[in-house]
Amino acid sequence: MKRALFVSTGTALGLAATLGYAPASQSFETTEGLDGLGGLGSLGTPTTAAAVDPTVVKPSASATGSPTAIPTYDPNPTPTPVDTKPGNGPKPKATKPPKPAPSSSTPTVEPIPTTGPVNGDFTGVVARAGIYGTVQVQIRVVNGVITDIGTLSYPNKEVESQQLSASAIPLLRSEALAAQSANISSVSGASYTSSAYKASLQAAIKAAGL
Amino acid sequence: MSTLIKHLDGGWDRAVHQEEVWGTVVTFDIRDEHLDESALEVIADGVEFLHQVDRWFSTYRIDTPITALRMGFAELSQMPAIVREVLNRCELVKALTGGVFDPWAVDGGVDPSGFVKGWAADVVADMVVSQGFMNVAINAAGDVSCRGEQSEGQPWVIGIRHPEETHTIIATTEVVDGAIATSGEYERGKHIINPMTGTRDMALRSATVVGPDGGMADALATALLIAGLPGVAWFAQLPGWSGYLVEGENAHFFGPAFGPAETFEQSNASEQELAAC
Repeated sequence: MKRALFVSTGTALGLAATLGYAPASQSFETTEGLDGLGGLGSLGTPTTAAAVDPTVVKPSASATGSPTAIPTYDPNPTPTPVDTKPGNGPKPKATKPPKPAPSSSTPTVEPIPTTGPVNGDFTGVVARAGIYGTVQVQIRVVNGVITDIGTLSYPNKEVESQQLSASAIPLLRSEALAAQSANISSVSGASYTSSAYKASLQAAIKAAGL
Repeated sequence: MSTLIKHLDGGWDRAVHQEEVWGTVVTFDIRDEHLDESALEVIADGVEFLHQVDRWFSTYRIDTPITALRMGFAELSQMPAIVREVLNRCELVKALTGGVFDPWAVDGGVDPSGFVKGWAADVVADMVVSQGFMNVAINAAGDVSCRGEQSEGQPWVIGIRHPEETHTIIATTEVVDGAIATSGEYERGKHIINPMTGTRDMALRSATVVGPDGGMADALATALLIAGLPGVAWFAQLPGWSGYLVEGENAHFFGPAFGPAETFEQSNASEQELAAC
């Protein structure tokens, strides 16, 4: 990693504001320029804070009460069932089955309404996910709010890579959805293709004009 | 590539980076009211350290000290000081966990990988702080070391992933100058073995721990995954540590990071049934 490669020009700042985490030139390819698209937040600090999806419930264990420094252990616990499903509203759209994807493609961009809230499905670029293959993200937007995130393709190069993506992709999907309401900065648990996923996700968000 | 993000949403600046290393991804996230390119330089230093860790501890390379030790080509006394220090700390965690965490019990010789990832995240986070950047989170493939805050007055908020691929974060917690690590049965394919039975059977679906030390967090999460609820007997003795354990359809959590557990009644009330997704 050469420091000379670090950029902080206006172009890079626009790119940064657009992509958030995504280390663009390393992690994905896109067929269009990405500069000058400032104003989009990263996943951790969404600009759509005012448009929180009401169906996404923040499952917070720490919200149960004041902390205590005395850990105790009940060997015979009696669990109190609490519904921790993230959505009490519409069920999330099932992720489409994986299919082989080219290493690059032109983003599918739905028409962007010039007035009124944004609605529809928007597809991100096919992003390279390192050695694990490619990933492409589709988002569903209802009244300007992301209500669902699915993957059209994900790393499927090898069996091992399938195992990786099977856990990483849904995690990141939930991270993106939760980040809209919970301001989660990071997730504990493995995530191998986060860079490419976020690149494609941000492209889809851009396509939606959010 | 590292990226400097200025005044996003009118909030703090951020310097972010993702590095592919150790066959996984490590994420840097530095934040403050004002950041300049010096934040990218400290990231570069951290990245260099991550690759140095690979040159010390990778068991997949033939040219590392740990491989030489594993293959019997070198003695412990010939290891670099930092390798010996890490192995010493692994010994400590082995003792703390009653032998459940045992890097010496795996096939092929000693393997401290279950400690190194979280330890390295801690070291890098402290490197960043030592250069004057007080707010940083280092996510080493799911082991996150946090220092300072993610925004003005807001400690870092970290989500805990669901044990299986079922589209949800099961909980969030604030991590204040510490580390969080999660081990899940999904890691079965990796070199997690119950040293007591020699099998790969896990007692829990996942185990998350929050505490003051990244390397220990990494190892303790694995140990609790293997030991299950009986492991709380020794885990609860550790001051400053919290746990979030998913067993079957239930989540058991305790300690300062996860809310009240002052009495058994309250402890019971604080257990959630996981959504059967």
